[in-house]
Amino acid sequence: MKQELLFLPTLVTIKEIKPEIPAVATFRLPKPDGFSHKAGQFLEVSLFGKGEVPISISSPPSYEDLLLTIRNSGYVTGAIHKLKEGDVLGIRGPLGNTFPYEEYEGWDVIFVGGGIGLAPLRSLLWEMLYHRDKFGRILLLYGARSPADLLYPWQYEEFERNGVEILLTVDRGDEKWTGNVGVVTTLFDKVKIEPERTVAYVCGPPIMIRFAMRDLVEKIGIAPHNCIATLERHMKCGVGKCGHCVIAEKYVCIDGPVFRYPEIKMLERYDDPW
Amino acid sequence: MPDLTYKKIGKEDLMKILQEIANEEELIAPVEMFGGEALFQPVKDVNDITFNYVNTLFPPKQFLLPRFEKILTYKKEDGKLKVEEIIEAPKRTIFGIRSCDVEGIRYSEFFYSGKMFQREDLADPHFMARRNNLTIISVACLNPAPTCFCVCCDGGPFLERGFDLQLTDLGEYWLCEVGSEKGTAIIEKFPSFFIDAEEKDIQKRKELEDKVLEKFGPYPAFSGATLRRITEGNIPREVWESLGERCIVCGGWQLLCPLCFCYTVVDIGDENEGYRARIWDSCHYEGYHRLAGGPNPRKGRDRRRERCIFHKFSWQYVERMGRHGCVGCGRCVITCMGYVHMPQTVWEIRSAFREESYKKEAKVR
Repeated sequence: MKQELLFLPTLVTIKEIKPEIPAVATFRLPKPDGFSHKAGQFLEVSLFGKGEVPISISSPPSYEDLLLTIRNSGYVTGAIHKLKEGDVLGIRGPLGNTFPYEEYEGWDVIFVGGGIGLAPLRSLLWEMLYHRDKFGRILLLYGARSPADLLYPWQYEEFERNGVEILLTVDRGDEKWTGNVGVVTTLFDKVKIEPERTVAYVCGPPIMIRFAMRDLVEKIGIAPHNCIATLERHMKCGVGKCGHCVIAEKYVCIDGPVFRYPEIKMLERYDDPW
Repeated sequence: MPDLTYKKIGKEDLMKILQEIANEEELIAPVEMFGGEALFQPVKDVNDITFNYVNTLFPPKQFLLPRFEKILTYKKEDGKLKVEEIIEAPKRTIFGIRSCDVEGIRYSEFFYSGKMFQREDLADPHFMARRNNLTIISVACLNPAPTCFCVCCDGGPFLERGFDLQLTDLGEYWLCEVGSEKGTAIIEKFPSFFIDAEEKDIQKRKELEDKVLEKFGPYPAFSGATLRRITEGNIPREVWESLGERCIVCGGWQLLCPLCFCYTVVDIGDENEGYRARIWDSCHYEGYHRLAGGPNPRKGRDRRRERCIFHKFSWQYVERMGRHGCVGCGRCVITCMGYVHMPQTVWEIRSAFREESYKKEAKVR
């Protein structure tokens, strides 16, 4: 990133707003000139007069547009949700580190998502589907509070067509729900994988990441090094200056947001990464 | 230790030079205000400068990272949004700054230049522009205040790096140590005022330094043991709870600390016109840690206290920053109303372990 653009957002016009589930919508933005990102990175999205929020990129690097799935959870995101197509947003980025995945070519992949946590994983999932022959089995274990809260339901069929094995679960089912009920870790009993050649990517609410990572290592037997999670923190600058996102000595905006399990375990000793 | 050039200058001559500097650019120097407090202020007339101070109430960090700084403005014209970045970096010379604050500036610069992350492409354009335009003329301390403890923290009273010129009071003369190219430039700009220092002047400076070390007061911060214990991460929870219990979350420590540099960003204005500003922030405030939607990973005061001390005194940070995060200026001792300032925190962490080890020994017996 050019230094003069460190705090100066690039202006983009919203192409499309697609409501997903209650309080969540996907915003389609054009890529500014010379923009390229990698799976796992995030953007600082500014709405002038309201502020800036860090939002992970949900579209794969090879896709022509930027897709940002934003939940209405605060002051700025609430204002962003009131915008219409054609309105202007500022973006800074891409920021942060990336999901390591090139080193795992030929391996099986397991994605574990919870709630809105599917949004950052979607970038990597699609990137792998664009290069489907390079990876073995791809599993998606995804849980949400209720069937209505399952993110991207319109896309599950396309995922399955591309050879993704999807297992869904909800905390509370409704009268139409016939699938699994329980937290996402209950799905671990239902999958049979070879742990020594499997990599896991996890994202979700902090408590879910914590237990999912633990079970992946202890129950399924994946090496801790190959359990990769992306964390979320409140950020102001996104470039390692303001100090809000720090966990122990790691700045989530520069050293993260993607961490491996041993790193997070190390942070847990000094601070509360969850 | 780099080879320093030693010069000396008469006291009257120094004031002439400072007046020249004040005429050309912004001169920042300590001025007596508010009934006796020394504060760094822009000075037009050098007679306003006070020499009767140990250290200023506020560190001079506001000249590098202002308390309130507009970083960009936006305006909607004919339905089109125009955004402009504002970088304000006047040419400045700061005179009378103490060693601890110089060390604080060096620490902040290491962080803001991105060197901490080995990412110099992420250097802060605002901070670095101001830093590059800042010349530092520091004055070594000969009479530490009772609250000072820089000897324990590698922050003074004399420095070997970080300054452009370091002055030492030798009675009739100031001894000048030249620490950088900017310092050399001052010497070359006013060649008639500076004379070469003799061996006995340098000898006298060393004697003065030895004498100062004996004058330090009752606030030692023996950070070595604390650093080790924080790095191990096994300080009893009760220690943090006791410290958090007494903290009144005023944030005074962080706002007065020359090494604290966290900020928050706000947009002021409506959707048509306004500006984005950054404002000093403190990790002791609850809102500093709050995440979107309300959850707070450091809700308790004890957790926020722990976070602060971890930043200041852990090997993880020393490894990345090159030093620990305290220079011993003693401002937290003056400002802290809950009696949980740095030397007290360090002392409580140490004594907690002493009691623990006593208990252990008692059990063995």
